Amino acid sequence: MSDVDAAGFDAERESKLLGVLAASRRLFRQLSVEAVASVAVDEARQIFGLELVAVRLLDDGALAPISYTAGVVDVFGGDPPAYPRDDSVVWTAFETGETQVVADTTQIDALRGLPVGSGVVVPLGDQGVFTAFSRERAGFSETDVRLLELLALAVAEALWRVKRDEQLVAAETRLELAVDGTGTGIWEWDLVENELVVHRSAATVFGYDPPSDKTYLTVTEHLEDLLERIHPADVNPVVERIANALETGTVGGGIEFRAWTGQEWRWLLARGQLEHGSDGDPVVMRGVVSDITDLQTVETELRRTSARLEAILEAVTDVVIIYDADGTIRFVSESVTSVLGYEPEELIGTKGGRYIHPDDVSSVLDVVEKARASKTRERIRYRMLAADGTWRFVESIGNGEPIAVGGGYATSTRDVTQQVRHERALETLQTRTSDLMQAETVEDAAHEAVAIASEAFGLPLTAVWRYDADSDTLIPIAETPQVRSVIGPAPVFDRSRGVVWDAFDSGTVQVHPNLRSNPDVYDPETAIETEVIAPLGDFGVLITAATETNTFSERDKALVEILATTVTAAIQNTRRKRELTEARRLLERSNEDLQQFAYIASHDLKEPLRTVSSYLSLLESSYDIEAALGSDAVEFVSYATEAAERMQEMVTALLQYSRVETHANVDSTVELDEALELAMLNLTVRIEEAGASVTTDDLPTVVGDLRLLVQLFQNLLDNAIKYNDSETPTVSISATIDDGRCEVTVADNGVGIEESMRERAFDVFERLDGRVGDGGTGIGLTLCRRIVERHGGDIRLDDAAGGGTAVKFSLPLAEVSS
Amino acid sequence: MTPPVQERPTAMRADSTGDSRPFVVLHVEDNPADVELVKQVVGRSDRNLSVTAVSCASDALAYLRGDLDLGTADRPDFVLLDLNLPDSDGYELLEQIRSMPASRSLPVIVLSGSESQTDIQRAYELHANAYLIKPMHYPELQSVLERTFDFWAHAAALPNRHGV
Repeated sequence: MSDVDAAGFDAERESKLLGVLAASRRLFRQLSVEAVASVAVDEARQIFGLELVAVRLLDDGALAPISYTAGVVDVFGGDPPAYPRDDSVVWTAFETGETQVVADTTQIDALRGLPVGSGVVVPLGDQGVFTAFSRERAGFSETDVRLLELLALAVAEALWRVKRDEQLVAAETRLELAVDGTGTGIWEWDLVENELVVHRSAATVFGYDPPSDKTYLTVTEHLEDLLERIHPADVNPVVERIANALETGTVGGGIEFRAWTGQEWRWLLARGQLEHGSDGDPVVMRGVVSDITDLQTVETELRRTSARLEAILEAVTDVVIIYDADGTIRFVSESVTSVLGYEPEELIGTKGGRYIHPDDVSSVLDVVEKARASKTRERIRYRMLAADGTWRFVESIGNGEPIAVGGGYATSTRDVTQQVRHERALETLQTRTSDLMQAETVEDAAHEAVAIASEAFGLPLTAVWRYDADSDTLIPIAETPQVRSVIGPAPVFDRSRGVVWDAFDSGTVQVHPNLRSNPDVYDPETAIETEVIAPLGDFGVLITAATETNTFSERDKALVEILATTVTAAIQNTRRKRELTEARRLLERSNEDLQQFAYIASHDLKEPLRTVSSYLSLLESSYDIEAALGSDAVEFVSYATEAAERMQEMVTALLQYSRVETHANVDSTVELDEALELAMLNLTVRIEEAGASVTTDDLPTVVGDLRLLVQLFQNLLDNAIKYNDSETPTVSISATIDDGRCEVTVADNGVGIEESMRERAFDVFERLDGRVGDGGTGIGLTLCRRIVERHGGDIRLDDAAGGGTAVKFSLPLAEVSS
Repeated sequence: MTPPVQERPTAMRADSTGDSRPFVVLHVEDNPADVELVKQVVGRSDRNLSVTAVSCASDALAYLRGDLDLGTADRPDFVLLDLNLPDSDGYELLEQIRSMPASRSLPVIVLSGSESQTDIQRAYELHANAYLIKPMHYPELQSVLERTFDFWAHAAALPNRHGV
């Protein structure tokens, strides 16, 4: 049935969707481009079962392979080449930003002659492409393509994040290089520990060898040692200045002095400030020191450094904020205006903490503390106050190592409100997917869908329509309360509403950014301006609308698409469930029918049969049939009698057959030896009459129903003797044990069953003999199969050594094997 | 209301007393083929038996109450009951027979095609005197019915039904 296929397919799509959602989270945790590419390839391979997957990124004008599966290496016979710019589909995808699906890859020059049949190329934003190929032609379903696009969206996002981090590192490195060139360095002197931390560019200034492997040099220095390297003529002014600073808490302007570098005296200019502990005592003095021996040069360099710094900061689209150690904002990049709405001057000099959401302050402080303690870069997400009074989700990366020029801590901050909404939406979707999948009815699924759209995705104007084939209309079955308040009850769509049908008929999502500009497609009275229409398979459509033009981002569209995919799966799930319930109901009814049948077989069917037999025997016992009716009549009566006997056996066998299900307890422990012994006892006369020989091995103990297993052996022994024209019918019974199960073989030297007939032998009332024996009910093997299957085993026919039949059946072993 | 019980053992009634009154069987059965089979058994038997057949429960009750004249003078000594009847199931009839004083102690033998344990048990719970499964062949029917009649006509001591 096609429904079963459809159901199977949907379960696959459902699991792929969940796989992609999980992959997105894994991708976002990666810290390098290579790691992102590798995870992307790995996930695509696992989720879609693809062996030919690669991530190519733009590098030096070519799309260079960054990560790829082993299958790709096989195809190329080595590492795949970078693709220089050409007009192939790979570059087309990259340049147009649109997924390219190629049903036949021979049109791609670079792949001509390679053993691939079809492919999909999905752009990764402006960074590269994601390629997936299959050895078969047309190897990608539309669903796979859509899910690959979803995965690519996450890959592009993850790559973007990593690159942003790298950009910040690069900016810091450039700052440091700039500082290096000036002979200017920052220093920090811990007054409590007598520990001096100097930037390596300033090491020589203080007379130390600059470390080659570290940015900062940390030495233990007492003031006296430090003073020893200061020119005797300059010691007093320096000591005075320090004493004054410690006393007043302010350092004041810069101080010039000569210091011994180990080789020569150099003129230095030091600026600095004091930091006080919680008890108000100064604990740290830090500042900038410049070698001003050649003052002219230094001033020039400083100006240039400053200009370069500004340039770097402005190049970064994120908001760069430099905080003092106490959190005072010292510098804010221009980009703050577009991101948070402030003018940089409004913020400079204010405390950074006042823009952090009260609930986030402590976690931000924790991270700042951690970054500064470990001198590492840390990332944190929190809410920041925008100029319009709203709270925006932002993500900041801060360096715990003070910035080289003038101290302070640089942070890069970005508005992630959209992204947070997107991620939360995905998370919510994932948690609520299970609710959705639990939906019992289509209506429940539809209501849950609009609730998710409204509550989780922030898409309040959402409704679901069901396709009604009889009227060829789309009928609303769920809508948010907001839909009702904006447009009243959701309308029934007939065929005149083209935009909706386009989506439903084509099975693709339709976005209409400005409905009012096209009065043909929509009622001009409505308040709706924008719509995303997502088809729900053959079930109906889900529409999300807005009252402003062009309000839906790519992300919103992607979310609606994911939601639609999930809802479709859920709806098909409810159909599957309903089918299952129906099947169960039918099964229950068929069980009842079976019991009813048992009664019919035992009574209603037997009743007339008994009458026939009774009267035939009355005739035979009371009349001389031959004398009264002639010799033919004797034969006729005996045919009728035989037929009645056979029918009675069949009725009895059918009754046994139906009782396998209704009257069995297959959980007992049964010694097969005992079952066989009882079966042979029941067949004593038959075995003796046929002169048969039955041999048996030790048989194991199994889990089952003794009565049924006796019946099983009895039927098999009976068959083995009945369908046997040997002088001495021989039956041997043996068993092998494997992995908690045993396989029993009942082999005979009888007439055998041709291989092509073996499956038919198990059909009800199928008799294959026709030449040997006294016939049978034709239900014996069917009954055997039913008994074995009732025990969870299987039964088959095989050749016996010597030409007869071997019946092999398996049964579950009991815990303690005999 | 209990009918007076006479001391005379009925077992001696039919033959040893030379009484020519036969042992009267009431056969409650709707299937004419089965009715005929039992008639054949009675007709072919060398015992002094007679059988009266009714085809539904209401006739059986009316006859036992004396409200239905079937042209036989004698009251039945014995009921042979099929469980499948058109107007009631045999169990109901069995219950009614046991609730009427006139037939409370009358031997009732169920003769049924059903081998079902539930049917057998229920019949005995409703105080059937025996449950016979209809045999497949006539000779067996003949033999089982004759042995049953012999038992109830000669071996079992029954209250006198004719003194009521």
